[in-house]
Amino acid sequence: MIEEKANNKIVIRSVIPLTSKQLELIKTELNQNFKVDLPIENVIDKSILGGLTVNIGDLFIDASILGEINQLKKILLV
Amino acid sequence: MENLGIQPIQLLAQAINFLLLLYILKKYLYKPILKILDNRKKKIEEGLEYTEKTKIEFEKSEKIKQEMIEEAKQEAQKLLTEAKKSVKKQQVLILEDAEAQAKVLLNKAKKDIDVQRIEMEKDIHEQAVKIALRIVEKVIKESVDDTSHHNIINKKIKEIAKVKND
Repeated sequence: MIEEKANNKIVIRSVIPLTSKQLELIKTELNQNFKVDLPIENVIDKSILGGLTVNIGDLFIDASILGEINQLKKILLV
Repeated sequence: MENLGIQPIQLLAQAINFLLLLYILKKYLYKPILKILDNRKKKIEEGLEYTEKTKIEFEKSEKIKQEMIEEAKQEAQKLLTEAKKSVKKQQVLILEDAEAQAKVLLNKAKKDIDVQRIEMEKDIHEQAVKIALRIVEKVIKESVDDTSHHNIINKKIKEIAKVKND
């Protein structure tokens, strides 16, 4: 179901390019957990500060440092 | 008598004349005069009586006047005392009202100050958090090398592995 809306690719954003080992590892994990087996496009995005984000159609996984900072900001400003 | 030079007939005539004169005087002069005098005496007595009466009336009215003045004075004093009491009571009420209003204003001012203080503290806190996080972002951008980035990515891939497909 996720795969149908994914535009035939997984978009991963990171500050530096992912190694082939990292790409392989994440591909395996996404296949196991989300039943998604699509090619990965690695987009370099310095604004996320570190870590990575994953876009598979409507699904968005924020594993970036910017995401953590935003979470921290929310907690501190409550 | 004739030797003495007194004529009896002449004497008799004079006596009759005298008696006649006495009678006429008594009838036409003394009586009206006495009546006039009597009337006058009566009028004087009435006048005196009237004067006495008037004097008594005057004294009586003077007494009443004095009593009225005294009563008016007492009434005025009473009114003055009541007015003073009323003014004092009014002053107390005005003072109490002013104190109550001042208390309300003071409480409002305290509340306003508290609200402003809380808002200011919140603003300062927000600014401090934003500044701190900007510094964190800057430090990360400038100091994290590629090796560290790869370590972070590896750690994050492990975290993604824990996420279940709902």
